Amino acid sequence: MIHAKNVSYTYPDGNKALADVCIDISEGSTVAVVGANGAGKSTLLALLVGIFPAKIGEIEMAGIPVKKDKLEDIRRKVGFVFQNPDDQLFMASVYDDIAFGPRNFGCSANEIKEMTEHAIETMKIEHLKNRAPQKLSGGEKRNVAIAAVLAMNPEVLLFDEPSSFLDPKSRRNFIHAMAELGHTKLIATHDLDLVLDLCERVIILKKGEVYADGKPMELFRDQELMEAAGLEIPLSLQNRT
Amino acid sequence: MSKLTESINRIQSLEELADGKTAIHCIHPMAKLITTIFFLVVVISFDKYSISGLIPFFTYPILLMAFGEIPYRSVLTRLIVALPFSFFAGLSNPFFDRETALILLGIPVSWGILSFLSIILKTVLTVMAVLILIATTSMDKLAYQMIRIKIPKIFVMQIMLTYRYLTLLIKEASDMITAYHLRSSRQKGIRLAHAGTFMGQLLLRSFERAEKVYVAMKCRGFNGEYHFASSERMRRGDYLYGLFVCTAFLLMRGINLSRIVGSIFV
Repeated sequence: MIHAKNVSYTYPDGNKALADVCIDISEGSTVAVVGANGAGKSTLLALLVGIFPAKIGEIEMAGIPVKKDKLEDIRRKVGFVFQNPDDQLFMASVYDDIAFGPRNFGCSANEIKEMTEHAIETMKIEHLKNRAPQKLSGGEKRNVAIAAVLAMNPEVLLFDEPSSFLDPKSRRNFIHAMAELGHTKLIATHDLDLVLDLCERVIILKKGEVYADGKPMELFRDQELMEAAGLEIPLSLQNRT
Repeated sequence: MSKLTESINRIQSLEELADGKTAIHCIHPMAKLITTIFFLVVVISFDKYSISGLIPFFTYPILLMAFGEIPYRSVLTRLIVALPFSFFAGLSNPFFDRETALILLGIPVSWGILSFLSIILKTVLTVMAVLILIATTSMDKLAYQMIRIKIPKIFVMQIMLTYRYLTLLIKEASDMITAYHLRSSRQKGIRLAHAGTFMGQLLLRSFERAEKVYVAMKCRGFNGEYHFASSERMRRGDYLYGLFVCTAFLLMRGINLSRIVGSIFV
């Protein structure tokens, strides 16, 4: 479902963010991308959805190559949930924000209504639909941002730091909501406990390269590997060992 | 910091009123938009010395605030923000136009003072009408009606995005001011030497935010065309409201009610 082959990316200021990254993620799986600050997590997500053009290497999402002329198709199939929901929610009401995607894709009025209400139902936010996004709490905004992406009926979901801005209870609710979604999910995060709860696989990036790839429980227990990658063993595992 | 936070709350409190369920809130947004625009045109059309003709127009905002259950205080405090602009715009009139127009209780009143008062009255009436429109109709509904009356989409989109992100920009500025004051405890305000960097930083942050918002919009299929939610059709009552109110404005424009009422007592 997500294929990246020998992808490299250098920012215009010369900062090399990714080097020869190869990723293969199958349909329906939930995979995390972790790494220290500046490891290239956010850049990787931006390349996968075509925000930055991948000049070196090949990327294919849901069977479509990520190229300039295919971006509209890519964005129908791939939903991107931003780190800060305030960047994503810009309409005057929650309902209109969730309907923004379907309206842009030229769906009929009935389809727009159906897709929007289905997304609202999936994220259990019926009580918020007439509220103004700026008045919601961090957890509510996150749920609305996810619903806004789900309304486009994507096959792949990309998350950039989804647990930031969330209090412990909202974080727990988010994990429950994610576990119920059957989409292919790629989550870039620093929250390693969230990875243990949600993901069957983790890719560790270090200085723009894939440093390790495997099961979270196995990689996170390896203290030497974690330290070399600039990470720490998650708290929950520290307590168990 | 507290002043900026207050401003955010003030902006939001007016918007919250639009969720009301009174008779005025239930009128179709198009009827309210058209009558407000008509009101603005009629009020502005009075000549520069007119005062008595404008007074009866206060019935419109007063009745709307009463039936719409809008607190007078919330509208009047926002009105104060707009008044200084017209106050300074008309301030020179009494100095340049000194010819006596009338004598009120033995005090000569010049044409300049009359035109100055006329500017203030027009400002009060027009700003009140717009504030009442916002307090009784949500922004997204207004945006759709603006599109329907053929206001270019690009302007409507600008209004919508500015309205939405104004609170975030104020919050950003408020956070920056708090951070500044925490490291300069004995100082009031921002020193002139730092003001340039401060404003520059705010501008850069707003560029960054704009970039992120644009990318988020593109990710959800935005290609320059903004699609607004459609609203319900206008009912007969909405047409009647529009017709009645606009006719009343025309009558008040044509007949000077203040003079008629005055002549009864004199």
